[in-house]
Amino acid sequence: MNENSTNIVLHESEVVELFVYFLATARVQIDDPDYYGPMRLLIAAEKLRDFVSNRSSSSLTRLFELTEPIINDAHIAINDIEKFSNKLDQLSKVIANYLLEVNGIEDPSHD
Amino acid sequence: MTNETLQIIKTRRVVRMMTGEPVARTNIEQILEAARWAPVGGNQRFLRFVVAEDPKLINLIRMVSPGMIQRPQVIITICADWDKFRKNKVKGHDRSSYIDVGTAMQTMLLASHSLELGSGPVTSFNKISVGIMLNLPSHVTPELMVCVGHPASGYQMPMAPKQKITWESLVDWGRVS
Repeated sequence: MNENSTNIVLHESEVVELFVYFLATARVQIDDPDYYGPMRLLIAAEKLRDFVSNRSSSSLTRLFELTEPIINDAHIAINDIEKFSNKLDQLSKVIANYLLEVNGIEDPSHD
Repeated sequence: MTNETLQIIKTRRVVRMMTGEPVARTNIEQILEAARWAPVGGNQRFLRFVVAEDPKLINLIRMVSPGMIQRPQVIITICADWDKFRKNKVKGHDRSSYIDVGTAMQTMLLASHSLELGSGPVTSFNKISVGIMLNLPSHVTPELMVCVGHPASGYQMPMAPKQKITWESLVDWGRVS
């Protein structure tokens, strides 16, 4: 098993918190503004990150470190849809590059 | 000479980072007493206030409240008593009832700030789940929660305004041009 496929087990209380968050938020989101949806997903991602950050591999820790400041900026930009979208675009690039890198696939733009 | 009331109004902020320091019961009672003096439509009292202080209960409420970013020491849930609405022949979802919730909320936020406590309102929560957790009777619904705690310094995760707001930008004098 290489470092990137290390098992990380959530505590049951963490699973409950995340699972309940998704279910409770599904109902809340019907009444909330549509653009809150992406924010709720970011918060869920942060919950997951916070649960495992102290027992994650160096590779996963790096992903968390790369994304955390962008997520923080996205929260602040929630009322400016263009800025908020830009931050989510940034996150999309970071995660794509991360996945390519950890799976040993070179980015063709670097050729 | 500064006007302390206006200073409190102008310096109040939604606090999204709170310490673990408990809030004194006397302070909670002062906040609730302030809410009793908030203006209400027709001087009718349709609101109930349910206070959660037990950390375990607060944690459960947080789990079904995606809008609750802060970790409060106290949650005051403003509830509407629909039996009282019916008894007073007020039409359901009468606008004044929601205004009452807002005035109670703002009064409690200002009272909290005046006591050097941090506070913030939460409307994004699962009403059904919170109603069960607070053991509310079926004719009482949770409408808004006020989180109270000691403000922490540091990152507050503010929502950036879409534009700079001045009071002048919100006001028209006389007939709107």
